[in-house]
Amino acid sequence: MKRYSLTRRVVSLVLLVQLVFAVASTALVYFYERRTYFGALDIALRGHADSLLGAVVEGSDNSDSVLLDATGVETPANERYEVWEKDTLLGRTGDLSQGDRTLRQGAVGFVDRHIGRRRYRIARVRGVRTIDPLTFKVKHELVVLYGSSTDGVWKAVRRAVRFFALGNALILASTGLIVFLLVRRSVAPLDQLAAEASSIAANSWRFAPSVQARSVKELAPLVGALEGAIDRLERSFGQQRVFVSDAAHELKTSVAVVKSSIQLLGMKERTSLEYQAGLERCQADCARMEELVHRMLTLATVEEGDANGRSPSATDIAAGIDAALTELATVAQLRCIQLHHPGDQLVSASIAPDRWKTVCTELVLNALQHSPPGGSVRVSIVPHGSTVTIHFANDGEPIAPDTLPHLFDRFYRGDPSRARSTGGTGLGLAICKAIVEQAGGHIALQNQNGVEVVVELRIGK
Amino acid sequence: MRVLLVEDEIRLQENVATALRDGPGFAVDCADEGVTGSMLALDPCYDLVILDLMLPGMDGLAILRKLRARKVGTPVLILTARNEPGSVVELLNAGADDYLGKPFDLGELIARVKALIRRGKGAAHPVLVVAGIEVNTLDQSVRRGGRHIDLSPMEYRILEYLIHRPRAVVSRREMLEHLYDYNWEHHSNVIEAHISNLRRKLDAGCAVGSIETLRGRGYRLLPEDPGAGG
Repeated sequence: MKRYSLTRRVVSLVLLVQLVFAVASTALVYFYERRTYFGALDIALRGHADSLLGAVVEGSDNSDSVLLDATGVETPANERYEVWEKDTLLGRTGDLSQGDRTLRQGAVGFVDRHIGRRRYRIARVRGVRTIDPLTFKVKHELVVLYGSSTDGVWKAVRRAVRFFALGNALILASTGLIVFLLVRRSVAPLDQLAAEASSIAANSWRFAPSVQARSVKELAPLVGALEGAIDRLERSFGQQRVFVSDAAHELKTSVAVVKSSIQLLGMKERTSLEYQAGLERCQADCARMEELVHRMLTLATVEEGDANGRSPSATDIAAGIDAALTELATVAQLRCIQLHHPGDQLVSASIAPDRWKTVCTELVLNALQHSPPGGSVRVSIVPHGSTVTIHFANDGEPIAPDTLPHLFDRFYRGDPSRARSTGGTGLGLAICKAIVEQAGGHIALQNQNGVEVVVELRIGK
Repeated sequence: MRVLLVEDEIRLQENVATALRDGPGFAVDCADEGVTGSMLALDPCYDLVILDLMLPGMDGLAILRKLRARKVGTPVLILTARNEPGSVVELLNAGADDYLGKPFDLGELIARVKALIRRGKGAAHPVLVVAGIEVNTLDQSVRRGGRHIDLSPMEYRILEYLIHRPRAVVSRREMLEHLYDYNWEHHSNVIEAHISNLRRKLDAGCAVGSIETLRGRGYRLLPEDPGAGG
């Protein structure tokens, strides 16, 4: 993906808009100035032409002719005129029509012509001069052509446009600079935020955005999102660290058991029977370690989620419970504990069948481990609405309230009744919690009436 | 010597206790959770306490702090699976005398236990000499005047205990408490027989008796050789 600069984009956009505006306004100024200057020129030309028309007087030779008396008519160097009576030229300064008869034949108005290398604007005015005003018998039709070079006008227009364009260019440059500095200044808190975020590492989770970054309203969602994400990551890393530490502790303890069992055999001479018994104990120790590793892997797999694409299916709840109760019937018998089945209920829940079986086995085993001999373990199913609630209850002393929230923690040993001496790995309830929560359910453990402990599960159907 | 072992992993507890009983011949009492362990550890009858760190009920560090707060000076060896420098410093600062990371070597454990007991009783060297009697705690051999003396395990344990407390009067009850586990009362009548045998073996061929009996008070190892010492 091509990277782009936000600063460059904003500055370019602002400059482009301003450039368009500058070009349009300059064009407007050009047309306005041209119209104004030429309007003024036309009025002046018309005035001069009218003056010349007035300067045509009766001739002195009694022939009813007219002549041009240009005395008092001042003509600047860049202006020319011709006064015609039909085809008779009464007077002129410079050659304006250049032999073009059509120039004096048109209607009253203005004509633009090139004379030599210069451009002229020519006013054409018509008038009638009457000789002998009493009889009105002799009339002279006159045409006055009065032209002026437009070079000066164009020069003035160009000067006005140039001045305006220069002003626009200056505004454009200063706007570009100001916008650039403003954007840089606005982006500075973002850079600070990035620098602060980049200093975060697995062993340093300190994220303290500067006051400047916090005070920018637009950055507030980003700061909030970063803080939230870092907090979640820190907690996740913390949990992982605790798990790795706990797992290492458990594994080291298991290895210590196996190692000490083997070393104990070699500490002195023993009979073959003693060696055999010792080896059997070593084998049992290894089996326990294997079970621990297996459960740790199960927990890791469940917590990873259904990455293998396994989707929860409608599982027969009662079937899973029955399978677990049947599997553990011998254990219950040995401990003189009665197992109560939930009865035939056709209720299904959205959970993978093998995982549901694992949950049932773990919870029934847990209930058996903490029931006194002669007690009972009771399982019940209560469907309601879109969920189903399952209770695993066993007789037993109530658990201390401060211990209850930690019972689903991995390797939790705070409660003496959860000690290793009960034979557990400290992972059973953690696995159950992970499976149930993966299925979108909820699991909790509570004391009831001071005589029984109940694990309550709620799963969607 | 009597050792208290507080370890919640039952199989490890069994193995360590068996190693300490079979090896140096210590009496070993066991606890598998913190609260019981802390109550037992307050008893001064123990020559050493071996504490696991992670225990149900009350963790090893809390037990250690409780012991030191109650001015109990029994040497404490910590068993830990956490070898981070921070936790080791915390343990030693809390009053632990030594620590051993899991998985440990049983031979190393026994050696550290012996060294801690010796130091706890003011003797740094593994060979103790009092009243001309030389006790090598490493190979559990005994000599007097260059002569090797063959002792039964219990006779050796009695002599080792007495040699750790030269010139002091050791009562029969104290001896029972330190040499036997919590069943010591069942053995109360055998101490006299063991002392008698020990005295006979140590004093054979010697003009001066080694163990003095103080009627109604107990026994004392005679420090008759002024040049000897632990």
